[in-house]
Amino acid sequence: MNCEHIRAKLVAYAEGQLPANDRKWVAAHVRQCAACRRALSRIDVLTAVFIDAESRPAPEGLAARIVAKARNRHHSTVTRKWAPLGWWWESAAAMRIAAAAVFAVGLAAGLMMGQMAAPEAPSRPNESAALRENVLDGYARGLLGEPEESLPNAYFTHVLVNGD
Amino acid sequence: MSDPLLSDESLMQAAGRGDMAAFEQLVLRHQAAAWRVAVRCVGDTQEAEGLVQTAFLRILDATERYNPTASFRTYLYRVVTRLCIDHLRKKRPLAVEFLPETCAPGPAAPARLERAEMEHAIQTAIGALPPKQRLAIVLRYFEGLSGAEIAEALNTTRKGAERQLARARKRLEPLLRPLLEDRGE
Repeated sequence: MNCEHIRAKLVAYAEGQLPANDRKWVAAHVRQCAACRRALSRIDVLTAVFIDAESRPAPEGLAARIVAKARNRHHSTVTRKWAPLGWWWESAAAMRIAAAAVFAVGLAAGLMMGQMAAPEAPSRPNESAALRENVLDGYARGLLGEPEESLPNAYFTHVLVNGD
Repeated sequence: MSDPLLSDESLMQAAGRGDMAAFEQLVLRHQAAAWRVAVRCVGDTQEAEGLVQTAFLRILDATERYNPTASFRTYLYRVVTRLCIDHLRKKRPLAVEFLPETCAPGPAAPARLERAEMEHAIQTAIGALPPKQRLAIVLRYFEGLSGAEIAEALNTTRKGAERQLARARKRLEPLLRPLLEDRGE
């Protein structure tokens, strides 16, 4: 390509509108041609300057390192999938001690408060006697004269014997 | 085993199903672009590599949710850009270690030195820009993205992207014009 062809493309080049192949040709020419570079700098100073900027390739092995890291992370996620207390083992020792102490204090406090607040168990010394009396009283009022093998009689007998 | 002719979007979907070979294909195809953006933005090769690794791991994490509304390339630029901006905000001064260790083969020694000095001046000037302006310049001039693509990568509107570019140009031109004048242009 001669300078005339290049100059016709400089505006498109400066605006990033050229296809990749044309970009390469224009850039290669401008690097060598002071006149075309001057023309380009009048369109866009920065394009004219950056045309000399180095294109640094990615470091060797970068892709392999990225993929290795991704695979290691994937593997450790899978192997640690069932770890309900994983957070415990990942915490620093001081944090674990502090967490255990808080748990112990909280448990002790809860137990003490439970003891203090627990109501007295109701005493039941005469409960069976009172029940028996009621049954007898009920029987006496309404069931006198029932035959021995009748259900009320059987129930009355059961209460007297077992007290419940 | 992944088909090398599969589209990026198909590879993403395959990677989302646990196909690590598909993920590897994506990395091989796009690592260079991710690297170029990262190293131009942060100016340090080790930090740039860390950012590129993080970018691809984040992409892998997001494969199950990936919805190809934009091209994968644009999506990659967006992830890398986001990481670069976050990195630059935490780390203020730019470490310009961008003097190449070996120069391109062919040119004579004085030309190589001149090229190295030019490269250093370019990277120093770019490194003085705020993060979003820096990325707008890198995406426009080094990656050839359109205004719409730059806006997508920067997660802003088209006008927002053009504003960042205009401000960056305004700051860079007086710094870099002397480089052209030194060459007699």
